[in-house]
Amino acid sequence: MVTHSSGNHGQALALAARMKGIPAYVVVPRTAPACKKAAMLEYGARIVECEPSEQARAAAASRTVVETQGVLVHPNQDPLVIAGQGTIGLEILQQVPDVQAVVVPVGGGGMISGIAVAIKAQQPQVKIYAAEPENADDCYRSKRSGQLTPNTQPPMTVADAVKTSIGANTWPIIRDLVDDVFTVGEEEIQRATRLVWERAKLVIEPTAGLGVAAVLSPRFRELPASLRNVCVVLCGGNADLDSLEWLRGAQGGRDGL
Amino acid sequence: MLQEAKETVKRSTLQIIKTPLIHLPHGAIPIEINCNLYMKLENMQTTGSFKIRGVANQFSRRESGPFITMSAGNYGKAFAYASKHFGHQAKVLMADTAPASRTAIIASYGVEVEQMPSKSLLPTVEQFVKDQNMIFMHPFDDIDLIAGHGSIGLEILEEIPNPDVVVVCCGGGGLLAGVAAAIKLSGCTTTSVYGVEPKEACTMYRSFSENKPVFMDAKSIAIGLAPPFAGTNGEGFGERAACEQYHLQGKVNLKPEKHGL
Repeated sequence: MVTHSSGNHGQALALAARMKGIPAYVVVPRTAPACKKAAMLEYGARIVECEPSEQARAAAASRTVVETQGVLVHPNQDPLVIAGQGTIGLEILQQVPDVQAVVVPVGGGGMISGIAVAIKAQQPQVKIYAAEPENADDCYRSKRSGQLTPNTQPPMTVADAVKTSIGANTWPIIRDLVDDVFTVGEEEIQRATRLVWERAKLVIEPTAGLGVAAVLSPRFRELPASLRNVCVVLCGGNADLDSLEWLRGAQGGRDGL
Repeated sequence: MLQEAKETVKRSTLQIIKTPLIHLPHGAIPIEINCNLYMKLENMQTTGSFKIRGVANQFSRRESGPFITMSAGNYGKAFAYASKHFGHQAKVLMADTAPASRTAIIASYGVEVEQMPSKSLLPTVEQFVKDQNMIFMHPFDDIDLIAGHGSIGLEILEEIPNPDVVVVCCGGGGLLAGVAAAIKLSGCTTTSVYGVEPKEACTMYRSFSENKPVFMDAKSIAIGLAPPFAGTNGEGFGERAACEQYHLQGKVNLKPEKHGL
């Protein structure tokens, strides 16, 4: 199996491949968090490093597919991957039957596409909101313009798992089924992540904090008061415990309480 | 008494939660265990530890304060939070070695905080009880507290009716006593309940092996398991009696370095 990934998809693929006794090759941007690279290696993946741009990732992945005669599992545009992520939506409907809105971080859009398809099919009145860094707002701009508008430069954001742009398969789903996109700044992401660590006692990675930051943002709080039951997908917990300067700097709540 | 305590905890306005009990999916984790490991997540409890359960039951049995306790740790925090919630006048004594961050957290709830050498803690409590009619809330040697903590055991049994082994960390022994009582008195005769202590703070272990309460200078990175006022009368005795009565299988000591603590 071959894929390209900043780390979470790569880890999942590596683990699944190892359990099936199949070699896994993951093309990883050299800027990906050390803990994610280490995890992939531990799961038995062979890592191929590339420059941190979408083009470099895709090119290296294609090359690796040819060299290994492997099968590419795209991290977010593969319909089967999208459907698998959709199980999150099904579980939310079971666990919170009176949910009114679901907030989902968006990078390539695989997760939000799957969740939107799953939820809108059963409960179309439930709102699907995307959470995106201001520094990587291709989804926001695409929705606003009505055209798929990928990021032109590799984004700089602490939310390392959402640096890729939405793509050809996820854009139509996002265009049609996602109700709104909330963008947040870097400091908001850091503060929200710290808040969850400190007060909810949950170790989440910054990309998961992104979703919480969206809910705490002024624009989100302007939504109708009738919107009571909101589910945020804390999409990952792969925080690099050796790289927590951003956590120290971000004051989560009132005076660190 | 345990069922009553559980009801008190459940109905409490302190927003005590029934914490998740999760199964550790050890297939993907490089740890060597050959059992199904479940974890009761009291780290997610209101005030960040299980202590609020015992506190809820303690407060429910006492009409009004003023209240006094001694703890710089999780008990002090839960006590302070509850005191503020119920509008009681309250005082927390703590060792002068307690970190500023902890004293700040406890003081932030609006309780009076006083720091002093460890040796002075209990005598000062006794002074306040005598001179100002304050009511002493013991941080672990209190039957109402132990019963409150027992609600954890009852919650575990709701999800896993017949656990083979229950492992509980042990400082003063309040949690261990409560959980052991809940498990055993619910009829789980085949369940083994183990207490765990840091090797450098193994007062309960030594009490069991020497068959009498033992006091020692406790030091450990697991600071919640080394009560600062070891050396006062009655420390651990109530818990040891409770633990013994409920047939604890034995104690396990952890070496901090070995287990990455």
